Amino acid sequence: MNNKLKCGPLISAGLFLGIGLGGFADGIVFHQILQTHNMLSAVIPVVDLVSAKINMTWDGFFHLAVWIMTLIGVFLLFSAGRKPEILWSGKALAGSMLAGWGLFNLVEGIIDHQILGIHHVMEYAPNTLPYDLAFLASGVIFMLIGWSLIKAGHRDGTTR
Amino acid sequence: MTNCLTAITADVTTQAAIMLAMLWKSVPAWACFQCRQAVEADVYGQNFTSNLFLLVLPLAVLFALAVAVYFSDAIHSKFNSRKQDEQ
Repeated sequence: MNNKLKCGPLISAGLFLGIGLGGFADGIVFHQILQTHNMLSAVIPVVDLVSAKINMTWDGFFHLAVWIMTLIGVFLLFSAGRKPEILWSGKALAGSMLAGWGLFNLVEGIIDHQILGIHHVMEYAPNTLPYDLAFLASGVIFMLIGWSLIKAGHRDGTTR
Repeated sequence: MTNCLTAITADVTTQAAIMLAMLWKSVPAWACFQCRQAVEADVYGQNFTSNLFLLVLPLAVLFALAVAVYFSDAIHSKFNSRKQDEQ
């Protein structure tokens, strides 16, 4: 392992990309395709066209925010690639992205589903808790796999 | 090459700023004439700021964590040098 290599910028870029793309995965799969919940579906229940469109607007603001996170990730990745002292590893990048996605699931799951209760993964299920817990568990699993990939990439110690 | 990249970045940034400004002031639900006013009244009503805060809160936490990782090398080396000074 090369201790002189800086890895913060590459991992940070991967985290931003993972958070953004993980947010898009949530939005596209759960909000739009499966329609199991929306950002504020527990606060503004979807019962008619107006409430559906209100939730769609807030989903749009959410997608705008994760789009910005993805864009920041792209800029940081490009910036990291131009510096020779920064670790340049596909494993570390992939691990960071997966860890970012896991971090999104964990943080968003705890804050939005558990603490604030503004929506749940399966809004229309009789018991929402098992699905919320599965969502949190997926976050932990992604982070663990991502962390192991980051460590493996750091061990390789390559630069661009 | 650098000038070209700067020009492209400035152009993209300007376009993104214009798009965001239009979105901020735009009427939601352009596709539905009948429900447009009800949707706009609810989204941009008295709960707009609080709903926006609730929506942005987890992303703000994630942003802070990712930024902390960006500076982790500097924080780590500063912590190590302080530890060596104490020894």
